[in-house]
Amino acid sequence: MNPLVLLLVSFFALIALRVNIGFSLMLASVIVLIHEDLPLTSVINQMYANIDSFPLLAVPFFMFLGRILNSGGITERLLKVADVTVGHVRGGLGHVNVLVSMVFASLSGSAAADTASVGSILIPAMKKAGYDPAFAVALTAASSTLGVIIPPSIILIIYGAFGDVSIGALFLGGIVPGVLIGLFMMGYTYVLAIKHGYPANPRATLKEVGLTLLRAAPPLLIPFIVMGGVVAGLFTPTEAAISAVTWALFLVFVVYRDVPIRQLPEMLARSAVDFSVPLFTVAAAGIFGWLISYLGAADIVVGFILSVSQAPIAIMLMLIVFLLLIGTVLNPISAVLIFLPIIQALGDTAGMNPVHLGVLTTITLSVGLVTPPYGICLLIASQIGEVKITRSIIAILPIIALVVSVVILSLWLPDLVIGLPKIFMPRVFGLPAG
Amino acid sequence: MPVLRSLNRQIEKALKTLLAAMFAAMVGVVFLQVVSRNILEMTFIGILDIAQLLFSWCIFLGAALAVRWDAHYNLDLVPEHWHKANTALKAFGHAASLVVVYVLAVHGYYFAVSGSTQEVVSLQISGTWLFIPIPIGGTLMLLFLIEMIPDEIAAIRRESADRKAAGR
Repeated sequence: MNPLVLLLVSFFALIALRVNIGFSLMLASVIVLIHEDLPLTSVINQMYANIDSFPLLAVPFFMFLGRILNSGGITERLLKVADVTVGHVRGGLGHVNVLVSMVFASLSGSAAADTASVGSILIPAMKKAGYDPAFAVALTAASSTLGVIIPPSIILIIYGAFGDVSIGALFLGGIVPGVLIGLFMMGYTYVLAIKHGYPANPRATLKEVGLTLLRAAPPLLIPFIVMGGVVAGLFTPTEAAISAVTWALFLVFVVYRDVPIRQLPEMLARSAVDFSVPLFTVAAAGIFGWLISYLGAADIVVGFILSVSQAPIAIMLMLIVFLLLIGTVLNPISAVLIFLPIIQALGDTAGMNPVHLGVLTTITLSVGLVTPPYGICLLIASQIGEVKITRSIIAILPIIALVVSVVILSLWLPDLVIGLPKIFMPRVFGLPAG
Repeated sequence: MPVLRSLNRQIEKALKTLLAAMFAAMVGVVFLQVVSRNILEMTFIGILDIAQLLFSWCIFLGAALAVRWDAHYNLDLVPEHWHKANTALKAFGHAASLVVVYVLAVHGYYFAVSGSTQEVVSLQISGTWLFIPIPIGGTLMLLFLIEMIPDEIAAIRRESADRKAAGR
């Protein structure tokens, strides 16, 4: 049997049989190593090589940041900010849902955490206010995926670290498409609100708006610490993450005192397990990715796609379809790690800018977080909303179409993605500074 | 089995404490790096090597604990209410993982031993310290799995017996 086919078939068969994804990556690799008479020690060698990276240290800190923000009353403060700013628009709670996810995305970058924290408050509230429960679930799940697009994003960090692309530029590149997706979701909510008569919340007075913003100002500084530090060249992403963690710890334990300090060891231990799971997958993908390259998968896929069409736009559209399909069965981190050589080879062939390619890849893979069978955000939201998954899937299809339309728009108008990085990080594009 | 259960409970408790301490140290070390580089305008040699060392220990020990908590990523293709099929798949997944655990524990050990010829110059420690969490993590996974797999098989048998009884 062709070793590449053996590798892919055994991997997909193993994950279908509910072997954990990280373990499936390693086990499929072990099967091929034995088949090819290669030493098993190379598994360990490649595993360690994949995690021996300073930029990856940002991942634990951003995940810890998400846990700190969720443990205190910061989520409630952000909800109030969203409420006083967009709650009075028709379909108010839906807009609040999207806006708070956008803000939450700019603070931590974990989609599943956002679904759980925002969903547990807003889904019951939306149901009570007369919204279709399936729509409440779908909107919560879909807006949570902004966490992987709007910086800081763990997937963009991993893409940058392994794809040799500036993480700062990727962060900047995710901002406009992320905001655009959020606005599209709000537009869709507005249309449904008019159609179904969803209510608006009472308009807040100027004083209420001012007071709420003032109360939430300290946590809202976090995106400025992260992006400001990285863009100004003061911090690496890892250092920006630790600065944000320090600020969040100070807020939760000293300023707001929402959480007793004795809970800190538990939070640290839980966070360590939280980040060990994706990073173990990163390590396991080391040997799998190495085999993918060693067995020449990138050349085969590029050759196949070029035999279909050589037009750059067609190549990219085929890549987008491929990523949408892959995203249904793999989480974005695994998908990036396994298929990065193929994604970059196709991007190079189509003449794509690496930052543009990285952001488009991440947005497309984020759709997988709400599509079955791996759609973790949709599963969490459906569970909270007590809505059958089939109803949630139907409700989320129009929102997925909106996200895909932003992907196509960003492919057509590259400046939506690379405009900001070009302005703030011109050197990444070989442009003169200033 | 009761001995193994009790041992695993103790290991779980110890791992949680150790992970909390190591992650706190990681946060502290990288924070020190930020302060020293940006405020004191000096760099401590080896500080990033300490962070990297703690990072790899946290990943492999945390991954072992994630096995016990069933927190690793997986794909659920079978509907949730098909309890027996789900438990059977879980047992299969864990049994198949034993091959991976063998590679981590045995080949990880060989790799860690071979690392003794290297030195982390900044910390003046053997390279083994960087790689030894891999076989340790593998061994802990093994201990957790040999408790979990028989439990899952027993659950399948119990469900079959219950169905038979209900059928009568």
